[in-house]
Amino acid sequence: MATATVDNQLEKLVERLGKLRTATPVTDPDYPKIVDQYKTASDALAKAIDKAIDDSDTDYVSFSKSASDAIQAINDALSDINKLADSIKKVAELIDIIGKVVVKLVA
Amino acid sequence: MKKMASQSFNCIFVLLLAIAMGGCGLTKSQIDGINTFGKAAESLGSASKDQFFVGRNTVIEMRRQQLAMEKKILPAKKPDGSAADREFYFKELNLDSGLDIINIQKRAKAVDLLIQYGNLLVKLSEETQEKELTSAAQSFTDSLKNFPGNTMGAADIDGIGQLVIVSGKMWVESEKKDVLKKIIPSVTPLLQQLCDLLEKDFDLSKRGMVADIYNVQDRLATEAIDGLKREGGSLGDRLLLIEGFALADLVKSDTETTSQKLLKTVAALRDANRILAGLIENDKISLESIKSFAANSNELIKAVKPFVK
Repeated sequence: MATATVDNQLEKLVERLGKLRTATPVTDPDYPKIVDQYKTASDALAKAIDKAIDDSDTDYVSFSKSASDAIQAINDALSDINKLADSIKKVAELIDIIGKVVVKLVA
Repeated sequence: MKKMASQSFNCIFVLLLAIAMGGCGLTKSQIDGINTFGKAAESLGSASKDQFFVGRNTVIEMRRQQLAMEKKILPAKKPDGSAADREFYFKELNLDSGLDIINIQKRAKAVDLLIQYGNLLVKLSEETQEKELTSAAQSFTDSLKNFPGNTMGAADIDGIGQLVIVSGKMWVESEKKDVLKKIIPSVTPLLQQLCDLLEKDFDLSKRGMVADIYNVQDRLATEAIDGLKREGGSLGDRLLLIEGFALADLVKSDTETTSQKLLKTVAALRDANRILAGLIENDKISLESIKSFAANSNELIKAVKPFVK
């Protein structure tokens, strides 16, 4: 909880320092300090976001693994449905063969 | 008379079979819901995928300009005093600001699965196998007609052909419903997990992809303003500063709009996903959430197009 509060403060700090830098004339003696502080805070925030993005990768990979399995299961189920028409055709072929055998037997 | 009785028997048999299997398949409301959800899932998946790749490219372009404005100088050595190499300098420049291609690929793979799932739902709701069944029934009746010693008339055989088609369709519909009853509840929690991940990446207040883009544009805008407040520099330098500011401003407004629309659509997916799980069991459930998801997805597609270069 404490980390979340500190983290949130970093975003606010970057925002405030950015506004302060923009509002301060470049001739102000404190301007270089403000620039340094803004850059340091902005770099720290970029690193924190980078880490959070990398951390999320694990969750995306875990999702992709589970979802791939589910998609495969759906494809298998679909192929079972497609087998119905094939099975009717196979029965038709069988009837043809039986017919030919019967003709030979009768002859 | 015998022929008429046989035809009547076939008709009654088909009717009885239809009544017996009635309700086994999906109702119109369920088909509509699944179809609409599937199409919207495809749209959201495609829009998200575009955003991931475009977002990274935009960050690289902004970082290039920002580093030029800051007159970035690479250190001669590594911080520990050892000799610097290309890999060290690559990390020092950090052109993609942490949006590594590997991060993007993992996200693209995840949303690809959302697209595939949407496709499958559309396929399941639209395909009737009618063509395949008609062709199979034709082969079947041809075989019956040619069977040696066949005593059935053409009408009887045609009746049997119709029976094969009707019962085949019913079987397919019933199978589809069984398949969906198993699939949807198992995919529902996965989609909720994907919604959590996408929300993290698309929410400006959370540390994800959009927050990264926003931070980079803020830095670029601040550097551009800094340079423009100072006198001097060549015409080219001033132009770089102005172009940098303009790019940052465009990205800021696009990011804010797109983030809002993506979040709205992801929230709609979350609701529609819950409804879909219920719809497969109970076709009386209102399709409002699914329709709202579809409307948001359509709006999103229109909104994100200008951002995609």
